[in-house]
Amino acid sequence: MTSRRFKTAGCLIGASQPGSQEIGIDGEKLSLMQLGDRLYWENNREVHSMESTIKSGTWIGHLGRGLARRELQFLLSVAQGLTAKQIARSFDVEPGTVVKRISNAMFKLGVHRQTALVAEAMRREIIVGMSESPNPQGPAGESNDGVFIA
Amino acid sequence: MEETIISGDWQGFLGRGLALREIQFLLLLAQGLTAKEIAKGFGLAPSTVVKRLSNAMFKLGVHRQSAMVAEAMKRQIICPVCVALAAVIVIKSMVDDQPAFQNRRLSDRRIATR
Repeated sequence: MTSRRFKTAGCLIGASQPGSQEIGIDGEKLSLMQLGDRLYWENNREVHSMESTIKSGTWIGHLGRGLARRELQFLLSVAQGLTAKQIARSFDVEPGTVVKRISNAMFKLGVHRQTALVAEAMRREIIVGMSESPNPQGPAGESNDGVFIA
Repeated sequence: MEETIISGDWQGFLGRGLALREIQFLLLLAQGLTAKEIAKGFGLAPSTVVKRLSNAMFKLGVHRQSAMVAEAMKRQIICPVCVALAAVIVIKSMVDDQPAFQNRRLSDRRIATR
């Protein structure tokens, strides 16, 4: 942790030298914009490195990728097909609270519909669907083989 | 080879359980359009779009549109279009390679003449 902070500090000092547009971390050249993104990302990863995932049904949500805990919890419920009212009942909060948090998540991901929110969150790998398919498909495949052999 | 449909930033695969129209509407749904907006784009009645989306929801065994998008991505019926972008980049690089080689040959000749 500390070594990385010293490293990034060194890079920032290097960046302040006049005339140097490109700087490097670990030998690779980065523009200033890329460096900013990298630092932001690494800081975020450090902050949430301890408790990073939320499980809900067959879905996993990752904290530290832009959405807050409550936003992620409600998003996982939306991805399983629950309505705001159903989510509100299960979390024992007002439906308006759920709508508010989901709206906030939609704003953060830059979309205006819940379907697009789910799609964008999966694309950014904020939520990931665990596949149940190996368990049902394994026996099914075997039985199919049996049918073909018979 | 499965046929693919590209719509905006999204890519859909035929032959994985959903019909052409169902995938077309699902891709637009994943981009945040409503059934009414999709209907206007295709010149259809909104109820036609809703019917196709309901059919896709039935096929995927869910009851909400947001759950359908999630389920379709999980089953890899639709996915973000990074693969197609990579293909475009590869094709461009292949097309650009020939002029690049010609330039190199020209420069070699210049060096040789000098």
